[in-house]
Amino acid sequence: MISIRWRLTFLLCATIGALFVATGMGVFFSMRHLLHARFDETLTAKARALITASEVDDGDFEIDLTVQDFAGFGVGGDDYFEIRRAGGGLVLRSPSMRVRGEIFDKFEHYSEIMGSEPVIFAGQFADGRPARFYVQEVRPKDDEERRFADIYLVAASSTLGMQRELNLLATVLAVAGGAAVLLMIPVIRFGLGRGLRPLDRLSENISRMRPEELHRRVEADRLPAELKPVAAKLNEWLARLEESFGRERRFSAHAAHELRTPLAEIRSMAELGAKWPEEATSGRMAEIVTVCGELEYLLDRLALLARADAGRQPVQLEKLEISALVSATIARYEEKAAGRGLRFLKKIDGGEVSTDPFLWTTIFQNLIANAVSHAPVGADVEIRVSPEIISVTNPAPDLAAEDLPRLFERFWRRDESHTGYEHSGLGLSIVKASAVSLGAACSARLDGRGHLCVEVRFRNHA
Amino acid sequence: MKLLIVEDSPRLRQTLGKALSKMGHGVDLAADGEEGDLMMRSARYDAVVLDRMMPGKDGIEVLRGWRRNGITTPVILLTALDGTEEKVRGLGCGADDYLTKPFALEELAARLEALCRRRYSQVDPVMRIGPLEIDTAAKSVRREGVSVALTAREFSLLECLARRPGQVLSREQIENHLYSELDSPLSNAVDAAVYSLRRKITPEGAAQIIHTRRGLGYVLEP
Repeated sequence: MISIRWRLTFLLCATIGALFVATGMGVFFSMRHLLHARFDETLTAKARALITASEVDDGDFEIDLTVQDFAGFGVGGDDYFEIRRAGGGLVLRSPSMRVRGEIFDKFEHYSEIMGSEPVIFAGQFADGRPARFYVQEVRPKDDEERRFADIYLVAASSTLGMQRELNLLATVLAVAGGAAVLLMIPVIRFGLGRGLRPLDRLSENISRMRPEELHRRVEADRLPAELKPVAAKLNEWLARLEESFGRERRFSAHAAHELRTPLAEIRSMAELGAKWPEEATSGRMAEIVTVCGELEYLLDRLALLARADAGRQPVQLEKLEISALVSATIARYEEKAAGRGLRFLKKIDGGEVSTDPFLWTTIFQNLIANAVSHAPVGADVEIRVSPEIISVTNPAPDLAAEDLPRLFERFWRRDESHTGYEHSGLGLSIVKASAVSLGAACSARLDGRGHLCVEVRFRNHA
Repeated sequence: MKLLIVEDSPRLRQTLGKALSKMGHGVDLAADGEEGDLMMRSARYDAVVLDRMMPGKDGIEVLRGWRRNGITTPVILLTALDGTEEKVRGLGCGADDYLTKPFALEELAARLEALCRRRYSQVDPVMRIGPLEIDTAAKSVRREGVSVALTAREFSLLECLARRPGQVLSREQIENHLYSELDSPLSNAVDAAVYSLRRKITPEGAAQIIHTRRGLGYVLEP
C-alpha cells in the first residue's frame, strides 16, 4: 500500500523535477540564442570590416592586411575568409587559411545562396569543426573598370568554443537540477512529515479507541482546518456507534433477564421436586409446563424480530376485509380490558386491503395489548383502523417525551422489573419490525392531553 | 435460620420459600419492596434473599433504605443481570453476596449459611459446644463422635440455640426462627420440638445441655 506521504513526495519531486527541466531548457536555449546572436554580430562586423577595407589597387584586388590581422584573419587566427568570383575562381583568401590549408567546402555549396543581401548560416569546416558562415557580395573601392563586379566574400568562424560553453552550461544545469531534485526528497519528506503530523495523531487517537471506550471523542479543536470536518464526521460516527453498542448491550442484558427468570423458576421447581419427591406435585409440574410455554412465546417473538432484522420475514399478501380481523382481535382483549375498567372507542373504516394477515394482525394485536396493559385503570382506549392506518391512543401519565425515542427499543420498559411474559417490552418493537416488513411507517407521539398515540401508516394499500 | 425472601416472581418466591423451609429454615415471603420493608421492620432475620429488579421499589432502593436505617442483616441480591457493572453496583449498595439467575437451590442455601456464619463471627461451619459437634454446612450433628439423626426443624432449632450459647431465647424468638408468618404452629410446638431435640441429643444418663428457664425460654449451656 502506497502511503499519502510517499505519493505526495513522488508527485512533488516529479513536479519540481519537471519545473527544473523546463527552467534549465529555457535558460539553455536563451543563452544559446544570445551567444549565436553575439557570434553572428561579431562575424558580421569582421566581414564588414573586410569589405570596407577592400579596394582595387593597380588592377589587383586587395584588403588591408592590418585590418585582416585586427579582425582575426591573420596568420595564427581562427577566422577565415575567401573572396571568389561568382564562377568560383579564387580571388583572395585569408592568411589564416593559407596556414591551415583548405578548410572550406567547395565553393559551389555557397553559390546557391549568394545574393545582394548578406546571409549567415551554420555549417562545418572540412575538418568537421562546427562553424558559422557569412556570405556577401563585395563592391571594392576604386574598381572603375568593374573587373571585380562579381566577387563574393565568404567569412567563417569556428563555433567550437561557443559549443563547448553551451555544453558546459547544459551540464551545469543538468547536474544542478538533478542534485536539487535529490536534495528535495528528504526536504519534502520532512516537510510532509511535519505537515501530516496532525493526521498521524488523529490516526493514533482512533487506533487507541477500544469498543468499550466509545464515549471518547476525537479532539477536533486542536486539528487543522482540513481535518476538522473529518474529525466531526468521526465523532458523529462514534456517537452513533456508542448509541448502537448501548442498545445492543441493553438488548443482551434484557434478553438475558427475560430468559433467566423463567429458567430460574423452572430450575428451582425441578430441584424442589427432585430433592423432595412429595413436592413434585401435578400442580408444580403444570407450572413448569406453563413457564416453558412462556419461554416458547418469548423465543417466538425474538425469532420474529431476528427474521425481520435479517429481512427474512416472509410476507404473503392476501386480499382481506379488515373489519373481521379488527373485531376478532378486539374480542380477545375485551375481558382483560373490562377487568381494568378500560373502554374501547373504535373508529373502524372497513375495506379490503392487500396485506400479510399474520403481520397485520401482529401489529394490531400488539398495539391493543400494549394499550390494555399500560393504560391507567378506567381509561378510554381510542382505536382507529382503516386500510391506510392503524392507530391506538391511550392515556400515558407515566410516559415522558424523552421516553418516546426508546419506545420501540427491544425490552424497553419504564419499569424494568420482570412482570410476566406479557410485559417483556417487546410489543412495540415487534409492531415496528412488522410494519417495516410490510413497508409501513411506524411512529409514536404524545398529544396535548398526555395521551400516547402509536400509529402505523401503510403506504401501498389496495 | 430465619430468612426473608423478597421476590416479585410468584413461582420463584413460592418455590424458594418451600425449598428453604424444607431445609429447616423459617422463611417469610414478600412480593415487592414495600412488603419486604414492612416485614424487615416487624421481625428479625438472619439473612435476606432480595430480588434486584422488582416493580415499584427495586432491590437496590430497598437495600439502600435498610443500610441507611442501620439494618445490617446479610443480604443476597438475586438477579438476572450478570454484568460486572451490575454486580459491583449491587455490592456497592450494601449487598453481602450476589447470585445470578438461574441458580442451584443448594448454592443459595450454602451462601445463606456462609453469610450467617460470618454474621455470627463463625468461620468454621462446625460448631463445637460441649459434647456436640454441629456441622451447619452438612446439616449433621454428632455427640461424642456418634452421629445423631435430626429432622430439618430439629436441626434448625439446635442451630438457633447453638449460635447463641448461654443466651436465653424466648419461645416467641424460637418460633419466629422456625416458622414462617404463614405457618400456624400449635401453642406448644416449640416445647414439643425442644422435647424431641433433647431426647435425641441426650443419651440415657447423660446431663441435659438444653435448659429451661421458667417464664423466660430456653438456653444451650453445656
